[in-house]
Amino acid sequence: MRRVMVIDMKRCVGCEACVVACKTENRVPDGKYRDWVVQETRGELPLLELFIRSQRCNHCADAPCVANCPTGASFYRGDGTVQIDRDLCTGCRACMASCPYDARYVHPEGFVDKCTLCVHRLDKGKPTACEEVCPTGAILTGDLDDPNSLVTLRLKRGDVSVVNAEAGTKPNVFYVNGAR
Amino acid sequence: MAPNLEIETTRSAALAAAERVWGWEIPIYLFLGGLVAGLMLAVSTAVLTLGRERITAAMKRGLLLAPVLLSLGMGALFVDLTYKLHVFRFYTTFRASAPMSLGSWVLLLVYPVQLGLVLAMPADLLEPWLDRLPWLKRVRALAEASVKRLAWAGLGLGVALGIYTGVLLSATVARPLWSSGALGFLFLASGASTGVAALMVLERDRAMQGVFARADITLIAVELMVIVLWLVGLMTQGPIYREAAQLVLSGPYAPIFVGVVVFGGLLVPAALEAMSLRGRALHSRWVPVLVLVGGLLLRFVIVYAGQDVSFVKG
Repeated sequence: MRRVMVIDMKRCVGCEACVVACKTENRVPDGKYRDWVVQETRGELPLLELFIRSQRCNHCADAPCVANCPTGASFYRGDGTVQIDRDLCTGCRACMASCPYDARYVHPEGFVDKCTLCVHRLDKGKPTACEEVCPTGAILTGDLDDPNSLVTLRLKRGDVSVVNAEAGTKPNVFYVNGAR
Repeated sequence: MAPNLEIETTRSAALAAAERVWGWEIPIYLFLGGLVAGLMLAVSTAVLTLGRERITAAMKRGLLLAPVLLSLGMGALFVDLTYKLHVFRFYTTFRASAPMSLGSWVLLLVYPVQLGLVLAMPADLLEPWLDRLPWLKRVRALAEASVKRLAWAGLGLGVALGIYTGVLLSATVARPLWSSGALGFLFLASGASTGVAALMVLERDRAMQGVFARADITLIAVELMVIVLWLVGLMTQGPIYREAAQLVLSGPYAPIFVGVVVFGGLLVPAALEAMSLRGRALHSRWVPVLVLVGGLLLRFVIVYAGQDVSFVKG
């Protein structure tokens, strides 16, 4: 199983419902975020294009946060997602220094925290909190190893990009309809 | 990249202020770790080349100082942890992929080797204790018999400790300024140079001051070459790496990096040391102090500037 997320940049309207849903579902502390919305304006006046995307931990397949974690607190789960074992975390923040997405934060209790891809929900057959609440259906989660899953079929249609590809970490959050 | 790009993000209020992941504790630790590595390298080299009997009082003091400095550095690391109760987790795991894990174990090996070297040195202070504590006498006899092995271990661990302080940064991937294998060698050369400089501050023997000065000039030359390699590498890698290099070459960190670290902490002391060797200037303890200040600020500049440029777009 390889769990991935696909986000449609033409469908995203930047309502930030995903941000609120995530904060509520995962009890994310005040001032901290597991996901956030980025608005990117490209081009020159009057030919401007607006791209909106919801961002989070990219659950990279070659994750420097996992490689650099000195205690094994950051680890790959069997489904390909990157998770944190709070009991092993020392708060050294090597993972935060290693993340090319700045997707992690220090929880007020001391451990480092980030998006879990809501695996506690996915394991029960439910969608992630952000996916469930997205009013335009811009967020899709699924198994890329399943040739018939919606994420596999959508990625096969092309126009796929990832954020910060130059970091070379093989991210598992894909953006579609955002071609430059 | 598009010709014009504007990015807004909902988390900007909280995060765009670019909170630094690592503050003052890390450069302090990297400096002290490098300095201790340098002290170990210098004393171990002296034991292997000159012999145990020719170790000077300054070298013995340096050797005694090393575990104290290392403990101070580890104290800074502890202060930096946000989940301090879990500090023991470093020693319940060994992770070959994580430089911080490797470093934790290297640090644990450094202490007994330093202690062994201290015990193996001729020291008047130790003598009265040897009669009172028979076990200490046995340990000392063992250390004296293994002094060469201890010195070789000191060399190996000194290199490992010195390189690791740089690899810790270069392995992070996310920070373009640190994305260079040269950092490990830069921190090793700088650590060795600051270690020798610390011994120069302590040393009173004229002949040995000259030996240290020659060693320091060589190490400074190596360090300058590695700095050039590191920056040329970044400038030729791509736009974001160039942006990172420019932070220290012409950006806000340039006055400290170029002015204090390179000029005041490397070129000026090397020139003064060369002049004192030729008899054109008197040996002054302020010269190695410049090297030490430069080494400390080198770590601050690299750690702070490295966190100011990242791949993150929003």
